[in-house]
Amino acid sequence: MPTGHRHVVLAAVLACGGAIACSSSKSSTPPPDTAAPKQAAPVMKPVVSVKELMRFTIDPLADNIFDAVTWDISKKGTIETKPRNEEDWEKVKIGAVTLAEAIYLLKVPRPFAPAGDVNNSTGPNPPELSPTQIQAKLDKDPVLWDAKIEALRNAAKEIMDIADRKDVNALFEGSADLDNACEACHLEYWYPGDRAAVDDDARQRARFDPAAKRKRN
Amino acid sequence: MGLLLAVALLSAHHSLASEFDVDQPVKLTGRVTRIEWVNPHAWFYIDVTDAHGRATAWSLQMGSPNSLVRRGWTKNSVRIGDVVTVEGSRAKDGSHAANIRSVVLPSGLRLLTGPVEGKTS
Repeated sequence: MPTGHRHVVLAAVLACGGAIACSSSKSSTPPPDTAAPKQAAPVMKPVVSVKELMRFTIDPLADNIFDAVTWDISKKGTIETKPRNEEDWEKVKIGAVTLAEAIYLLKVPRPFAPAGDVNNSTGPNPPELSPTQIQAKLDKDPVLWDAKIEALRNAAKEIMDIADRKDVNALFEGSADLDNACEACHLEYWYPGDRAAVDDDARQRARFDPAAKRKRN
Repeated sequence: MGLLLAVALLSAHHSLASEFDVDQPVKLTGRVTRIEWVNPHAWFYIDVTDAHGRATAWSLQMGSPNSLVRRGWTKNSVRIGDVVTVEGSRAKDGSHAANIRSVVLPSGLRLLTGPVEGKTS
């Protein structure tokens, strides 16, 4: 570094140090930013329903991750799909980053379905809850709703880290974690009727899996 | 048609009860033609031959690949050409597709295929 430049840097460091010292000596004075007028929280207005947000944003982005590692086996041989270059990994990262951020849009109050859409919630033993039923569940326990959102966000952040490490095996396993986060929320709010099938499956598994049976007992 | 249904279901989450009818159990024996290890659901396809020698292609949905691995599956558990017997629930739209609960391999070993226990947590 040229000597003249070094002096300029030294002067700047001293000036900063002085400023810090002055600032500390006036500790009783509130920091300037808290003295500034408080800004109102931004008003977030949704454009689409939860159902549309899922269809047009969350689900396609998740496919950037789900479709990144696959094996398609037939008599013609095995077609292995996996990220092979920077562009492929960037697509995974785009999916993960956007999911991690976009899932917070579920914290913005919005209808669960477009007007007039009641989901598959009519008839005997309907498989899905209506938007009104889902809203009632959310209103009853908003903390649980936030927890489901955080679970998916954490799964997406896990994928972000995996994309940085470019670890194909971890990506395949992380995709399953992402699926579990999606499915846990769907089972709670969208199609809780499937929970019986999941529980029945666990019982069936215990019949054939000695380890699961021991755990159950 | 079965393949088309499978492709449609591959890209999205759906209620099991929306797509498959637990009141329409199926038990099928057929020869494996294709296996897809992909999240969120693994699939495989079999040709089921009737008494007249006519083959019908069935698409069979399973749990996620990781859930299968936890149940003892590997990518080589089912091989192309294997004759297997599956049990599950048929698609509500009447197509030749099913969500399957178990597969009996040529060795007689029975493997489970359903959703993961932890998903309800």
